[in-house]
Amino acid sequence: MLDKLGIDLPQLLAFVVNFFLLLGLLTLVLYKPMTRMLDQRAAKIKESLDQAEQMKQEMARAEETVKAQIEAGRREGQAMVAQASQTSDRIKEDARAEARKEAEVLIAKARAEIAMERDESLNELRREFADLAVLAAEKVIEQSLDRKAHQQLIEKVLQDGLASRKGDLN
Amino acid sequence: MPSLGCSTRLLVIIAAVVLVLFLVGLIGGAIGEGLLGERVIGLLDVPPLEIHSFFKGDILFEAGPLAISNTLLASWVTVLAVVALAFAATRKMKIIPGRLQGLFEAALELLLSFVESVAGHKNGRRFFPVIATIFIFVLFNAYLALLPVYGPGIYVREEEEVVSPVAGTVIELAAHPDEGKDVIRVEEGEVVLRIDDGSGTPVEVTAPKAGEFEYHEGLVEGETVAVDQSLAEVIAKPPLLRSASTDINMTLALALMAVLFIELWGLTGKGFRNYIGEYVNVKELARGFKLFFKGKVADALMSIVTGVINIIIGGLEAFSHMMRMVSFAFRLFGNMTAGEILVLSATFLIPWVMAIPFYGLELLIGFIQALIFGGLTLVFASIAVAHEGEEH
Repeated sequence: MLDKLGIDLPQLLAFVVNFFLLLGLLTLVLYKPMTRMLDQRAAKIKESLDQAEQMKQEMARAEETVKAQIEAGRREGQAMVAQASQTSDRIKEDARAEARKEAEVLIAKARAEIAMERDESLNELRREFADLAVLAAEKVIEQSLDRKAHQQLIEKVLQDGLASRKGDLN
Repeated sequence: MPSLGCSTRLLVIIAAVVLVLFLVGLIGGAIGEGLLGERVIGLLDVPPLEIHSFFKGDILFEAGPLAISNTLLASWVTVLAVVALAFAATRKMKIIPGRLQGLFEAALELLLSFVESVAGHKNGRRFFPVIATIFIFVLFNAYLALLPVYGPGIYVREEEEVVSPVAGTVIELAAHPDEGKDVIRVEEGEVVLRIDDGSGTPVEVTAPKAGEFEYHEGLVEGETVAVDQSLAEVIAKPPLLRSASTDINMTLALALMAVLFIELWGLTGKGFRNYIGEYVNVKELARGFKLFFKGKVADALMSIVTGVINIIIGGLEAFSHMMRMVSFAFRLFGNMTAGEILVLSATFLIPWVMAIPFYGLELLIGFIQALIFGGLTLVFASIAVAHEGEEH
């Protein structure tokens, strides 16, 4: 019956041997290297991912540090700005006080000068007045000693004198 | 209109060419011959559809005790092709793969993940080489057999038909080979010799079979021949290569291997006692006899009945495992042989265009058969090992 089905023992064995040959050869050149490579790559990818994760963590840490540094810098800058503004305020205050003092000194000096000048002009006026009085007296003596005229004369002299004085002063 | 990768005009030209080929095939093929009464265009010299060696390959030559058949040769070609491809793919393995390596890796990983998804990681890795080899072998056998160098083995007769005519004088050698050739194709019944046997009218000697026809050397016109003298031979040479899956020896060998590995894995997985216990389950029967001798007849009878049933079940189990082999072998053989017949029939009826869809179908069937053979082996193996888990 087997013979009529075409089953032939040597042929069958040849195919069996063939199968084992293929199995062996493929194991040698395909399955072993391929599975090794696949496993290797899987390991490599896992390693890379781990590394990436680690890098990410490190980066996060670095970022944190940088952020802290920036924060510190900002705070420092703010402090410096505050200090600077304080200093400038103080300097301004100082300058203002000094200016005021100087101004006061100047005013005082000016007042003193004005007072002195006034005294001087008063003295001069007095002197000139005396001269005028003498002059008026001379005139009085020369003319009559009319009391009314005298008075008018004095007035006139004084007025003239004052007018001329005014012109001098101006 | 959706883009088809080429211009409409080119598409029309291709369609026209296909149509012309189809019409020429229709007229020139067997259908045309049937409709028109004669072969109008001698397109295809298809050998007559007669099945000669259906179940096994044709013997090409004998090598010692082993006869080398064309199916065996084809399976060697498959082995060579697969191993060469695999070698080329894994020769310079790189972490970042090239095209061939990538292709093989993708295919193998797909197969590996399939095996592991069915059998689990540990068993999957153990089963994988055998399953993958079965899959690859069946697939490559099927696909390589679609190449034109593979002959339609099951239709070609291998034996020599001797032309041995009546006695008399040779008048004419009717079949003349072309210049430079010593053989000629003849159809069955074609006149190849005319001989004067002395009766007055020449006797026509016809070719007994279609095939390659060859006169014997030294046969010349005017020579007197005897009755039993062989004058010429019709030789139909088997093709050098024939799809290995159309040989029952090959599919049976593969089925044997599949079943062998399944049983082997079952045996190593369960241990010898449990494994044998599956088929020859005498535990319950022995208990029954023990009880019987102790005098508990009612219990003993119950146990004996159960024991007998267990033994029958064990026998059925063993039988079903044997049947797996048969179904493995004949499923593959039947599908592949049917595919060959299908493609050849299409080619015979309407040459050229009609064969193309069937080639596509054969690609699909080759893949499916490979998947079925490998997949069933895998499932049976998983079942054989799975019992182990239940018992522990």
